[in-house]
Amino acid sequence: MMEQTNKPTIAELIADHVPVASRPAARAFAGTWSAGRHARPLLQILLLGLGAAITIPLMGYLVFRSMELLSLHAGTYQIAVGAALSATSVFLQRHPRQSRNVGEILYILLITSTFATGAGLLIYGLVNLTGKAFVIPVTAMLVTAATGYLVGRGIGYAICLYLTLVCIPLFIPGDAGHAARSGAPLFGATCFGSMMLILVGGTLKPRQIVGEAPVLRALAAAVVTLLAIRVMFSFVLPPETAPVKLMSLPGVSTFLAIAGLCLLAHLGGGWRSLGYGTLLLSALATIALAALNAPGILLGLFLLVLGYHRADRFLTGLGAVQIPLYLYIFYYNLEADLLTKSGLLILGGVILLTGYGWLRLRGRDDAPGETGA
Amino acid sequence: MINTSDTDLSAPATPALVDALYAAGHLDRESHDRAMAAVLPPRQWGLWASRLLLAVGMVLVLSGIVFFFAYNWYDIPPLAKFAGIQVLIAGFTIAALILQSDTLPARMMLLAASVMVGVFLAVFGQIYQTGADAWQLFAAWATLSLIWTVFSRFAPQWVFWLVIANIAAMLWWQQNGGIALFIMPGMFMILMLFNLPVLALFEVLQNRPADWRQKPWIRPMLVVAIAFFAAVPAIQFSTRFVDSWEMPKTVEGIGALLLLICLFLFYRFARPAMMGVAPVLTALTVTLIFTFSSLVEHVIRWDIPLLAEFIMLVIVLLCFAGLVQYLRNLRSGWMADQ
Repeated sequence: MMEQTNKPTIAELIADHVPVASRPAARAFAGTWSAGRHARPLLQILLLGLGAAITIPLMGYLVFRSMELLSLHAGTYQIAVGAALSATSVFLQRHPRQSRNVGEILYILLITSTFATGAGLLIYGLVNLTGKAFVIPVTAMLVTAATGYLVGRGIGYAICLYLTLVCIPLFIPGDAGHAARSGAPLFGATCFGSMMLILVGGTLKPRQIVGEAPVLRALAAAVVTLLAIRVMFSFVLPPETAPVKLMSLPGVSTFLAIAGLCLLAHLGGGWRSLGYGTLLLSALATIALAALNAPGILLGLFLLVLGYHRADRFLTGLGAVQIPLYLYIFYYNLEADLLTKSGLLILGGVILLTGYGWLRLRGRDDAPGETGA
Repeated sequence: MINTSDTDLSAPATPALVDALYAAGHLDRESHDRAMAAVLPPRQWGLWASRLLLAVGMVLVLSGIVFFFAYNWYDIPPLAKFAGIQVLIAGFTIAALILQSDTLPARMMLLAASVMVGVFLAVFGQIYQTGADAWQLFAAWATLSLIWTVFSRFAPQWVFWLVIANIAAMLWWQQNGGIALFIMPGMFMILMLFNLPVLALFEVLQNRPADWRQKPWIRPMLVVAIAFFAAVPAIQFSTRFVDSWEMPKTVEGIGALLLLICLFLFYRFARPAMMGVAPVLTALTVTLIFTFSSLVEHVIRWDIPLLAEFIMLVIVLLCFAGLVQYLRNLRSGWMADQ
């Protein structure tokens, strides 16, 4: 586990770690990267997300209203408009606009909302034509793959799409809404699987995975947002809606436990480190929590650990929000009675508190700053 | 396009930049690891892990206890239930006294005791069927747990207390005004006025030497809550005004609007803080969008619905683009001043 004190500047970092021949190119890259969209503060990203979240239903409503007024065939019209909007989004993304004025912000809002609305409409059009739920995950995967191939941001946009799919049943009751409830969890599970891959990537470190830290953030944000949506609409949504199904899918705990062990091995510097001391205890606690089938708690804990490891407040915040949201949903989960759930939670808590006691016993928590909270 | 030569390479490097350099092929695997080690801040894993395990472990155990009593197991005699909860309250309090009062474990014990007070009141209501309203339970909980809260000197415990008190105020309003009043501005006004003195107190305490009351997350949390509570009456006021072109007789809306403007001016000029300006300005932007929506409806009267909806779409895009651009300029200005 790495410990350093002085944080270098971008110029110092390049001078210290990049080979001499590559430095000019690295400086130019770092300059563009820092000035461009990658350096956008979290607050701006959240506000852009809020703006897109308001724009998407407005755009969708506009299409539905025009369909009614022109008495067009629902499925065909939705597919045509959806494809046109998706193509517009891809076109805009392939001609990026990087400036510091209001036009750039409008551009980002347009790209996100046209993509989510377009892909959502395309999928619903196909569902209306075929009446099959499996069309949703299959089309969503194809749209994601095509977007990823054309503009290289596939997984991030999958999240945007998934959130749209999950939210649409809130506004559209009936067959299409029912199909979304059935198909969205499958698509969500694939997103979950992708996140596992990225977490595992912490150990394997292939170039393309380490470079996809924003995707990890997007996926984590999607899971937490889904839980938040479920909690916010808890009086409207039926108990078996997408987020609940997603969190109780068989094997999710196992996937998370494997990913957690990979993360711990990465933090310790190799698999052998899991055989000793604190990491051994953490690995055992991970397996125990997986055995108790508490995926939300596992995910929350890993986001907290990952956030602390990467000094990433966003991930830490998501982890902190994830745990209470999951507990709220767990309370209303119909798969077990309250007594069983109570036993599972107390057992899980005792496992973690035992870990705490062990650390105290070993004197690993006596560093300065203990009193702050 | 951006002129990269203008970019300041003297800014601190971040883990995300290291990842980006690696992904772009400017760093090899070994250099990536060394660079990442250099940019990550100093960490105390042992201390951090122990805090995490204690906090999450306590949350799980307390949730388990709440779930257990919510199950309302009839085989357990009422006396045993009361005795069990009281033993837990006493146990947590004594444990807090035995442990050093300024340590995290002691504070967590006090927080646990506060939670158990609520469980006690809920079980009391279960057994005796007191017929008390839900708000009375939360009000009693907030009142009784204030003792532990004051002695804890622990910011998260104050947040917990504030949540209970807010729920009590909300339920009281619903209970006395009927379900329909949930969407009325009065309830949000009460919540806003309830939280405003807390924010004021927080800002006053910022002038003192740093202590447990000055956590950086307190301000955004309070401002976001107050901005949300103020936005509802403000939206209702502005839309009614546009609908009838008469000043609504209620004071909540205009009060909320004035408060939002005052908060914006305070955090923009008196105490510059992005996390103060942004939530307030977002609330004002959403109010503006709703006002425009009413105006569009009023002028076009939805005779040409497609046109009206298209105009609304453009308005939303422009309002949010303007908001983000303003905040970006403000941030740049403040950074330049520093």
